[in-house]
Amino acid sequence: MANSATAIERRSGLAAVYEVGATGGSAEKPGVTLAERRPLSIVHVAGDPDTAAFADGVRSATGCALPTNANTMNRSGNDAVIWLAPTRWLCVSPDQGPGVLEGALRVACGDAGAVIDVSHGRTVTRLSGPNARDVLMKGPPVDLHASVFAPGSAVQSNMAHCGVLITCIDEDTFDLYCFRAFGQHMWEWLCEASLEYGYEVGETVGI
Amino acid sequence: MSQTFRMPEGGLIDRAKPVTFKFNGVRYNGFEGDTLASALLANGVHFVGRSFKYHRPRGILGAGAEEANAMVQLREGARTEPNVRAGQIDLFDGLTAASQNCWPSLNFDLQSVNNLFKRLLPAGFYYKTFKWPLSMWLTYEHVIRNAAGMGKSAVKKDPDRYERMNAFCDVLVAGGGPAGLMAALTAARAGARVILAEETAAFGGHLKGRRYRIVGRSAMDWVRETIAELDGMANVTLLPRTTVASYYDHNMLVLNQHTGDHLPTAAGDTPRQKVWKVWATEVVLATGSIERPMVFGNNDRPGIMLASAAQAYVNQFAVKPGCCTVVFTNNDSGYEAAVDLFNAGIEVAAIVDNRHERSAAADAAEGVGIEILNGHVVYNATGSKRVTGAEVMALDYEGETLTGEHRTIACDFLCMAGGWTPSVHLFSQSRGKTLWDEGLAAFLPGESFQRERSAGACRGSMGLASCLRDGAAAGLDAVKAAGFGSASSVEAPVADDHGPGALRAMWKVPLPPHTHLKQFVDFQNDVAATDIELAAREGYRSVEHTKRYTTLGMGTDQGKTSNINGLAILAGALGKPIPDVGHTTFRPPYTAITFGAIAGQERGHHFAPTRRTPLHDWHAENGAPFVPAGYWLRAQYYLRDGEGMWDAIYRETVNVRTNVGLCDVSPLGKIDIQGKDAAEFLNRIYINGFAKLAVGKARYGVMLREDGVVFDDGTTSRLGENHFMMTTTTAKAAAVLQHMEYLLDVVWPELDVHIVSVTEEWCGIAVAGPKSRELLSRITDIDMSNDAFEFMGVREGQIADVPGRIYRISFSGELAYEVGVPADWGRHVWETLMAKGEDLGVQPYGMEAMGILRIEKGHVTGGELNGRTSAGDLGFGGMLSSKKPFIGQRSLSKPAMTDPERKMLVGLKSVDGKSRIPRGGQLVESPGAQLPMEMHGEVTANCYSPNLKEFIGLGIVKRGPERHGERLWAVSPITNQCVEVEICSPHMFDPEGERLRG
Repeated sequence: MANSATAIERRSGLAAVYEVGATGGSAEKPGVTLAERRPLSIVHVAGDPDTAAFADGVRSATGCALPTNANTMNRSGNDAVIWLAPTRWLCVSPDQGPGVLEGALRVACGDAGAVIDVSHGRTVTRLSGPNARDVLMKGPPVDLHASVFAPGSAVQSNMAHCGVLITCIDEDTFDLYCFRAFGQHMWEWLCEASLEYGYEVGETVGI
Repeated sequence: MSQTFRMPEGGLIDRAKPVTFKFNGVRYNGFEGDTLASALLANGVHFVGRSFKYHRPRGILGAGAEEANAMVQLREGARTEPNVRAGQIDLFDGLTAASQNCWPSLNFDLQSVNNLFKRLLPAGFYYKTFKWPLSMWLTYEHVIRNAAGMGKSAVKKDPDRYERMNAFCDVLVAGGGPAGLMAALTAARAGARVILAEETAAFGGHLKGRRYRIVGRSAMDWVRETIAELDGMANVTLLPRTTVASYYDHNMLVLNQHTGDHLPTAAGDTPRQKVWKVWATEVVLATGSIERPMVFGNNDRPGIMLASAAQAYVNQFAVKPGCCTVVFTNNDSGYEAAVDLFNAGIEVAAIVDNRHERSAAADAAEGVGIEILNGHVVYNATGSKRVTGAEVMALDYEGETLTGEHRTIACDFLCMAGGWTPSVHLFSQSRGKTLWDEGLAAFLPGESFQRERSAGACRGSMGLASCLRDGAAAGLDAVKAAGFGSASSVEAPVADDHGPGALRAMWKVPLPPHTHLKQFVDFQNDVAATDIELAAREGYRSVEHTKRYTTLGMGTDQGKTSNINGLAILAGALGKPIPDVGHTTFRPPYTAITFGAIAGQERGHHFAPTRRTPLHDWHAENGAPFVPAGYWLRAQYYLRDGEGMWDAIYRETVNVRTNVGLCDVSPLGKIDIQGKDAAEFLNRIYINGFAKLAVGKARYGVMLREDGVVFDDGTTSRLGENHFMMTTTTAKAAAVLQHMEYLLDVVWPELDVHIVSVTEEWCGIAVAGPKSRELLSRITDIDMSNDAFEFMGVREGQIADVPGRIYRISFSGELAYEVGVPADWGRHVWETLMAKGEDLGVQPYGMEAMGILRIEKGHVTGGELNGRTSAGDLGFGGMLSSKKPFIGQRSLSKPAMTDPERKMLVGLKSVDGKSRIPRGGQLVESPGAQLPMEMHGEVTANCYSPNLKEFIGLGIVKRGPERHGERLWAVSPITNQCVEVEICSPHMFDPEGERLRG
């Protein structure tokens, strides 16, 4: 996509259901805060991690070293590069404008990697609070225990019949990525799963 | 009503929290901490239900999961639940429950006449009686099932919520009794992640119902201290009210947590139940054991209960099951129970022990003056709706015949202590094989098949002291096996109980000569000893067959109290040793799990996920109903005021051909393909060439399966030298991506190609119709002129002030474009198109109009790409490249693929001009022809074409292209339609394609 600025605001896939301040459950202090992380620049990159041009390119464009251990994520400030597969990563950053991050990666990696913008193709929900981990345990059949799924961990699995990517930001904070079209279904599912702990819908997280 | 049988003090109930409940419409009082069973007994209620077959009065047999009689219908209305064991229902304020298997009332039940004819209703009665004539079985079965029944399931929608959890741990401990607690403590202190699941509300297992002492203090003090320590450890998850129900492969166990069953209504914030899937590195089974009943005459009378249950009611609930009891035992457990009952102020009229030798355990009982009858049995119980006495006789030394004087000992409840059956259910589910232990007369866990070990009573380690030691050892073994090699042992505390002593197995009490008494083995299913013996006489040898024939061990309790007695009686009748007969398979779950809990959150609109396009909300706001396409919801048509469905569809269809229409095509699969071998890769997967496709051009492609059948189609655009974007059909988007991933990972890993789905990134808008160019030129900086932007061209630029792409492709056959913009801007662009095209007559069109437009043009979709058609069949034969190999190519030379009789794509027109061609109809020469008649083909699509003003369709017909002008009949026996059709070219509208290039 050409690198061109626009003044048109991006519409969230959760626009119909997202209500800041909404609460669910009876707990006085919400155990979970749900917030959409948006707008984001998300770029899918693929390449050989042993090729210096590729690995260095990703690092120079994102500020994050290419994570080569399975199910991990490297972060630099609010930018992250998330391992997806031995030759695939997701680069995530607060919105840089249309095509900017994609363009930077394409220039930095040259022919060494495949780069494609998927910024609009994901709904990213940030779950935080003391029960955020419990809510996630209702979904994917993977070990999300704090001793295993620690900050910097990332896992791809299935949740509520949808493919998801979950990253651990800190002990009680997680980002849940799903395809945009499944976003509303996933959001409603998360709200229900959070009910027993009490939840609050936060302002969207722009960083 | 006062709780007459509640003791003034003691028990683990909370007397500060009284609750009221209703049973069979009568209001009673109880306390928090009671179960329904204990609260009923506190009010003197023993008679709580009727049996399944004979409708005999039944009481409370046990105090927990083993209950075979006191199954009740719990709650009312939408929350009602059948077959709940009264001893497993935690009492809450306002609870309502009712008896099952009785009509019109518990006291006066019409079907109890069955009991009078019980000798005419032997095992297999229904099978034997209702098979003539065989065809009537279905009628009989309906009546029989109604008569039998086991409670009623709710017919209203369940208002409660259920959820699922997934968890992993180093050590899962099943059972929170003394062995389980020691195992959990040992593993937890070593730092392992431990999950401890306990079926009931409070930890402690059978210690709650006993008066044992640990290190000189009440055993429950030790339990509380241990739980407090475990609760304070971050590596421990305590799950009370959680049954370990099932043990599957790979040490995956299913737990059923009753999060809200003890609350008046769980609806709202707390789910009523949760189903946990736990993946455990190591498992400790500490599931305890269940006491066995004694098999004597009329042993099912209300008031006859397991001695351990009576003990639990006295000690845990401070409830006296009655005023006067007789204890019938074959081991030392009965003595311990008798003393506890005596200490609770109950008169113990006698301990009847079938062992001739006096046990040392008799000292304490004798010390308080209880009469002990060694070498005696209770052979019959008197009474009807409540036991009134025990008929006792002496036993000969061999234990085969009764001797001496008959004596009736009055009592208002009777305790049975028939020995202990270790709960090997989970072990057996884990694929472990059991071994018969002669001393305990029970099956014990044999060699482990998975990473588990049993501890305590469930492996025959009877007595508190050995349970504690056993639990500690199992915990250490488990935690070391889980990788905590340096774990240290935890010393088991000193305890005072040493187990039930030696038992004298007696599977069936002998009866005096010439007496016929029902000696029940399986209470829930009304299976008596004589039924099992009859089955053996009739030739049943396998315990599995006998189970199904007699119903022994079936039903909701799955024979927890009856299995050992039953198979031992079978073994006796067959003259075989018990281990040779074996036991039936223990199948999951241990106790029933409701369907709601199994479904979890996957119900209603979460039964399957919903995919919404970026324009979904606009469609909904503009009157569109949705039609599912896989998980997608797509706008079907847009209703205007005063319109019917077909009016809207035909209006939209005509508008595309006269003005311009917009259609949301976002669900179309989109795959980004990059790499220096990208063109080569496409050449291999499409039947037509892509290597020479110019940058900025799109091409229609068809791909085959390995067997030569068409797999999918779509357009693929070249965005750069090494960069393509493929589109797939909506239905095959995932399958095509998977196919390509497989090829790149497995078949051609040497190709430098990277693919990723970008379906979700793009909002796709088809802009179709003669005025589409004019409309688009108003909102984009791309040069839309025919010379600058040719058919099948692809351009990038600003569209309504956002970056996007325009593809000049057409599915409708009109001059048409497809606009692609990043999803978050989709609605903005769509609304801009609607606003800027108002004077051009722009209208949205839905799936129905799109379907008609494509049928008019003979474009194929899922109906024709049906997994049976070849490229040649669909008119794509000319696209098959001979210059390169491609997937499916070799299969094209198979005789079946070159058969001249293959069915090929044609258009169809209704001959009479007014009859709709039946969809799915078979095409035949004459509907009146002799059967079986030749099938010439079938209808794959049908519609009324408002542009052609006739009923048309598509079909596949043998030698179809040669038969244009020929007439056949489209016959649909399902819809009872028969319409004469004329075969024609599938390109029914604008066959020359002038419109789309204009």
